[in-house]
Amino acid sequence: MKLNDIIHQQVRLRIMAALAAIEHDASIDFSYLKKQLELTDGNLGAHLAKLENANYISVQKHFVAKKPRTDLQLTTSGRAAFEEHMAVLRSIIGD
Amino acid sequence: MNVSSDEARKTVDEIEQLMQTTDKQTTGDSAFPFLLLWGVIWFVFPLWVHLHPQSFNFALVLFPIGGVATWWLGVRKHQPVKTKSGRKVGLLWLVLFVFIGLLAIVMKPDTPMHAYAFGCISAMLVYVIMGLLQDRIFIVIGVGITVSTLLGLYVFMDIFWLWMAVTGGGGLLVSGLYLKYGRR
Repeated sequence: MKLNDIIHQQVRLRIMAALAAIEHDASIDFSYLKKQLELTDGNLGAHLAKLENANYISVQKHFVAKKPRTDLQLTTSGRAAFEEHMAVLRSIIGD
Repeated sequence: MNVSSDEARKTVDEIEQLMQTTDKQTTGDSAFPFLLLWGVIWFVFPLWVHLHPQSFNFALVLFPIGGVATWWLGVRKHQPVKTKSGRKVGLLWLVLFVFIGLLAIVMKPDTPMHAYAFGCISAMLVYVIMGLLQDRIFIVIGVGITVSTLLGLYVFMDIFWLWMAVTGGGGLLVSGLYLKYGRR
């Protein structure tokens, strides 16, 4: 096992961690995640695009009460990749 | 990619901290509006009855408003996190409202105190189920308010309505504030 280049970037690792922290079937709102991680729209959007291209997250855009909403969710392969990345980090520590 | 043991430890610590914080914050931010709404209703109604004995009809106005507001918060309001278990909990609350209403019509509880205590304890059962499905803190809230309701019914019956305003409504309000601001 080796560190995952896509996930290891600090912002993307934090995004993956936040998405991994909620329930497996849950999705989190873009605006809420942006506020939680203290990122800008552009910064978060750019990193999400990379994670989505890697098929680590799914992005769903829809309307709630006529307001646009973007829901973000870890995919099964994204969760596995995140868990593997964390396992590699722990193995480096020697846990 | 080379990462030293110290760098790896720092990263793992930061990520684990972030995951714990996110878990607690999403639970708190999602539950807060509901706990605030029902904390106010559960505070206002028994206090109203304490100050105006026998004026129970206030419940016919207040609780349906609470039901509609709950639906609005759950379905229409921007929730930060959407879960399938959240939808199940929403349906559970709907079933509970219907169940309590029908049971009250069929069984005709002896006294308003018993009827109110039955409604409170039934609602707290849903909190315990929410605790099993989502966050264990809801089990603490459910059991705590159930115990306070039983104490009000059997020990503090002379001040039952005031007791329920403070421990039931107050309990929900304090729980909501703790979940939103106290568990960071």
